[in-house]
Amino acid sequence: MNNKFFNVHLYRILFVVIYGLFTSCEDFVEVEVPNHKIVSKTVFNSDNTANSALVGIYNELFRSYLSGGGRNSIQVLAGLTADNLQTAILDNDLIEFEQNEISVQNTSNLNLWSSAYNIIYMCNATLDGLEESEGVSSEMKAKLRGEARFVRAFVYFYLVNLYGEVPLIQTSDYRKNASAPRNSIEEIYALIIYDLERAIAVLGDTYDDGERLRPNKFAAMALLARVYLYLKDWEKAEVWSTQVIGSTENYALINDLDAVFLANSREAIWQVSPVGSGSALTHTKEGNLFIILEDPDYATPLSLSTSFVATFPDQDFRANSWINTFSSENITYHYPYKYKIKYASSGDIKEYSMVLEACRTISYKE
Amino acid sequence: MKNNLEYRGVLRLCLIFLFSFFPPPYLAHFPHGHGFEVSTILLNQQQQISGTVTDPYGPMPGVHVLIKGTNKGTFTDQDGQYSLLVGNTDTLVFSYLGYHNRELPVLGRTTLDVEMQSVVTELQEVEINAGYYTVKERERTGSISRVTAEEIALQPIVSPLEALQGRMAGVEVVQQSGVTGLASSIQIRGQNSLRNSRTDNGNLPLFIVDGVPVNSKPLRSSGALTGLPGMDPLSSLNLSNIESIEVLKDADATAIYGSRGANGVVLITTKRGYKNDGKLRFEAKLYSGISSIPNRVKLLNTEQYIGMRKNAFLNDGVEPTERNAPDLLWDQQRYTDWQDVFFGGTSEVTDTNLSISSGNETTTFLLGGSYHTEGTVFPGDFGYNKITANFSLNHSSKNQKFHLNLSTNYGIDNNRLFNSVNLINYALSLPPNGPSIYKGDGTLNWEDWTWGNPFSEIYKPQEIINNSLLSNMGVSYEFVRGLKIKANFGYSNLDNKEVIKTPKLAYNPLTWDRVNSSSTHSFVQRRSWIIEPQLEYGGSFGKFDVNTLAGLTFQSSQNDLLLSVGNGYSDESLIGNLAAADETRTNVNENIEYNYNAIFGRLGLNWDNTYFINLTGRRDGSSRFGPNKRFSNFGAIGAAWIFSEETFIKKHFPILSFGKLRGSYGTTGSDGIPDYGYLDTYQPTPGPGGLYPTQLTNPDYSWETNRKLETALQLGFIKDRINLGIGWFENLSSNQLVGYPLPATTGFTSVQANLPATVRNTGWEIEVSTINLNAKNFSWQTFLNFTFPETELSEFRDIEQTSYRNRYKVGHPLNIALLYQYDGIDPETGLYKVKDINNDGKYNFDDRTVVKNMGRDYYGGLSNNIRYKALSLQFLFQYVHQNNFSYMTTLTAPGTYGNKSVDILDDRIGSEGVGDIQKLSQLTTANQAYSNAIKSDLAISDASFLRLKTVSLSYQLPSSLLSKYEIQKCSVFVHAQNLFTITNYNGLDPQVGQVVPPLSTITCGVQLNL
Repeated sequence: MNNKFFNVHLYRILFVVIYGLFTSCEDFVEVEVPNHKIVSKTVFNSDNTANSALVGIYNELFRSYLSGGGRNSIQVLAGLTADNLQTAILDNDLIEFEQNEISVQNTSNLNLWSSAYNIIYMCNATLDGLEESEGVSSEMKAKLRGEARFVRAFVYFYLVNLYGEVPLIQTSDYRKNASAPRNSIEEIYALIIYDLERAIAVLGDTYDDGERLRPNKFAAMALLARVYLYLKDWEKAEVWSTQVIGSTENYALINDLDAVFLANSREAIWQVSPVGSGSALTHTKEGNLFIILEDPDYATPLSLSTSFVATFPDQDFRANSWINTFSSENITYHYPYKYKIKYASSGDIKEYSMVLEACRTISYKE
Repeated sequence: MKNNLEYRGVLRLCLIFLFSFFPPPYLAHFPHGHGFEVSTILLNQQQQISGTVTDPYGPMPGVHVLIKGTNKGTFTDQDGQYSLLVGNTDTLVFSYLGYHNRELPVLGRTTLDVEMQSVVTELQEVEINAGYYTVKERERTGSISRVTAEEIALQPIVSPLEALQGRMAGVEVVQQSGVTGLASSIQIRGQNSLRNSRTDNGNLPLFIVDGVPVNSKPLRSSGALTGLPGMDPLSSLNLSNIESIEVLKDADATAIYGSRGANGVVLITTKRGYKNDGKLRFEAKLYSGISSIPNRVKLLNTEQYIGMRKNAFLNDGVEPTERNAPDLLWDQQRYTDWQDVFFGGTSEVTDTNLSISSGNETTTFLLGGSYHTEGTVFPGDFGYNKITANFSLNHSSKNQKFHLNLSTNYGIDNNRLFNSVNLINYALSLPPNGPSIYKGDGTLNWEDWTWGNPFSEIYKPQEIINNSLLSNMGVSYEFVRGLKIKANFGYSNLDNKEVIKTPKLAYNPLTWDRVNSSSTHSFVQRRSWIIEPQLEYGGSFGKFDVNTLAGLTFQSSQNDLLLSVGNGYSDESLIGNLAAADETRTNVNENIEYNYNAIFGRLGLNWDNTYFINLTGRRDGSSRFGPNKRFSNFGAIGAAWIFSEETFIKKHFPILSFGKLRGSYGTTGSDGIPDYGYLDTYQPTPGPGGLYPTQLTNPDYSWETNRKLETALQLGFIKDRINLGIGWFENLSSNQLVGYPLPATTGFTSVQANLPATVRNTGWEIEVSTINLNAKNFSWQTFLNFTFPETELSEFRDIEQTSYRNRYKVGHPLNIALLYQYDGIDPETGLYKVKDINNDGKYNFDDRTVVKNMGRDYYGGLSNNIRYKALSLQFLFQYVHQNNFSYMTTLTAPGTYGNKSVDILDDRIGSEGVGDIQKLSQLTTANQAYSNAIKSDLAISDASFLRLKTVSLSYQLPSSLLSKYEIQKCSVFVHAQNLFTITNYNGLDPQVGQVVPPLSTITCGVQLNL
């Protein structure tokens, strides 16, 4: 091989090699989706993963401020505004709720509001995903849609009752949602009723695996009954609650008051499980927050108001089983004791957080 | 698709441009280098040769004179004279440390006098590593700072970056605490990105070790002492094996790194073997010493403390009880210095370093190893040790056309600590009369401590093991004169394993029925390879010099993280073995892939060694961006004019030995953002079996861009004995990639997007070096650097609606504190008062209107190298002018439970609004007032400090003595680190606040060359 030939060709070869390298760049910086993430489209491409999206919503209901039962939950904040609960320590955000003078900067309020829309986003994303999905079987699709509609209705029901007119968000596109105006209360209730009716139509009448964590038909009915109750449509409230009460294979009143709030108790229509926390040693947030073992502090900032405790007649078993006291030097605190576990000591979860309860549904009827 | 075509078009143009630069192939046939051959017909006759070796100050004793290619040689005597039997065709090599080697042929001469030239006087000739190319200090157009082995090697530290503290203008390195192995924070010319959190930091510079990029993100740790900064990814490097660290600062120097250069580039180069005529060179270094905490906070003693507590109850009219004053029921005489107990220990440091190297004209190698071990200043059996091994090989073909270099650095380090959340808090605030830690039988004393034994945290051991391999191979071949084809191949692998054990023993026995032994595990693996083919051309055409470079980068990184927790171990000895846990849980399991691809080039032009232009550019593609935004272009222009070359200057300003004006402008970017952010994805929920969306997705976000402008003037006076450099820079970082605020009704509060927010960093940098004295027996050099930085958030539209509203303020620096306005002591209550600015009866961020800059106002370093005969002294002072939160922010109100600073002693307490300390009280109202006051400007104190960062004294044993034992060089040294700090700050560390301060260390050792 002579030198000239070598040199001339070297240039050509180099040119081709480098040119080839350049054009392959585009592909090189394309990376695959990692295994700790799943592209949304893939999620709604099979029954299994689509179902996981719903499980995700139920898991998150426990971690969510709105429904978790913690210090910024409806249970606590609405309990404070209704004077059932009172603050036992100095906590500005909670005191504002207690005094019903909620400022713009109140972080509890912001947390409640934004977590509600976060759950709505998850429901909408599920509904949108299922809409475009081709890989999910039609039965599964119907069931998951029913459940997502149920949860969405549940959140809107609280939103409309807490805030009145709120934006009615029905898509997961943030570009549209960012500028959504407020809707009238009627429109919101119309969607709630529509969602629940659709849910009733598609959901079954049993619970998956005996766990009362995923709503069945009766959960939707119980919620719908409550909705009509709030709309003062007594007739429809009665119709729907009668159906729930009629389902004696599912529900019954429990005589042992200490057993009412246990996981999957027969009084439960729909519960939220602490399993959503992801921790093995876990318990309801209500139990952890309310039960007072030492002087109240940031972790246990609340007690029952004396006026609320006074409303229970002497022989009321609820007062005995569901209220407990803690005495410190010269103060006695009453605290809610529906949930008995403050710290879990073993991996099996004994109590679930109650959302819809048969006993109350009976009271709608009355 | 359009993008793709455009991209290819640009590439074609680049290629045509490049190829047009190289000379056509026929030039290769021009006969060069083969003109004539010398044939030696003379016989190699033996003869005696003698002479005197001198430098500009007189005769030099101890200079090594060697016959090249043999191991025959001698040393000059006290008068600089030598005498040697040589062959008349031999070549003599004269060598002396700190001087240039001289090679002179005998050529039949019988006397040969030699003048040696010191390296020091040729500062301007030093070759600076600019990453893809090197440039002479004199000719550089960009801003590059450099520290070398001499400055780093002796320091008894673990992390290389710590060696930069105080040594470079424009480079802020802050050691986060005295805990060994932590990542230091480094900012080159200020904070550019608004994202500055541990998990999402857009301000990390690019680290490159021997051409291999090292992920600069601190390694994650779950430990309380180590978690916040995280661990240093460079800690497993051997400090003694570092040849130099260069920091690239301006656009001209960094633009060739494109999207990764916005925050500057740190280049670490390791040592190589010397050409040594095939002689084996053995080097050993050993030092040993002790470290301890340099300062304590002055706290109340028992008598003062009890007095304070009693007075508080008296003032409040409250009766002390077991519940509100357990400390008043404890022994009233007992005294413990808790700072002593928690971090008052002495840690032993030992470091051993061995290396052998050799080399001839074509091949050199270096093989080294080191062992470093440290104890702990904390109680308990903890410590740190590190083992490293390194190998470097260089080979050139006889005709110098082919070069190969290989460098491999391997390090393993093991950091044993404990997981303490409250260490500092305990040390500073436990009542001095607290009960004893242990019972008589040696077990923890729980009952007397009514709330928990503070020592229990020592029983939560944490172990971090780092295993790192860095390897790089470079080959180059010059196939036409001046034109080289090169390629770099790099591989890095870092395994990091952390285990934190929490046995039941660490809990109060009362809770043992409801707690479990547990362990937390983290496994990190960072693997990366890089291939960089390059073409380089350099040539001269009369007075015109050209240096060009074009190359490609292919880099692929895999970052894996696994976090697991094991709960419920039946036996203490099993803790940490996940198989023995009752329950294990995996909290995070991530496998992140990051691919990066670029084409880059450089064109350096130089006319008559006087005018310089340097063009650099890069087109980058990164997998961190969505398909539409993956590629982007960056470039810079730098220019320099050495005006001292002009005859006018030479004639009229002879005192000016060197004068250069340089400037640069260009753009760089930052892709330091989380991976996969553009993908619309679901992730597993913490609860089992679920998937959920964790963010809104914007596939169209893009690079943060950074425009850098710089001008600088460099002057040398009196034969460069005084060198002065003054530079001014401005960096504008815009297109800030932050969470764009959204109303909560969208389901989330923000979406990742580029905002028209701009951060402006400007500053002046001054560097002075002087040779004060340079006599034969006495020399003295001084280096000074000073930086006046300024950071401003110059634009951020609608900041009030973002989550940044309580952190940044437009028109102010980024590192600020938003504070209440302190309003003195309330004459009625005797308590602190802050202003309720909007008079709404509440204290919140609306009232925090006082803005204080918490960054550095200015900073600098002063170092001196003084040599007297064989004795040399080096020391470095670091000065920083800044504010910090004072010690009061770590306390509760004076009078409450817990020890306090002596500041609150009687004479300064204002009972009726006099003095600057609020009345002694243990009431909630007092604590409330105090907690507002520590969020006010009252809590800001001057935290400027002057620190003797390093000082070392070494003595070089006379070579006349050593030569008998075949020893080339032997020196003994004493080195001290952080020996003292002068500051008005009343807390533990003026830089970081209440943390374990950087340790002060004294070592002594010996260095031996055979």
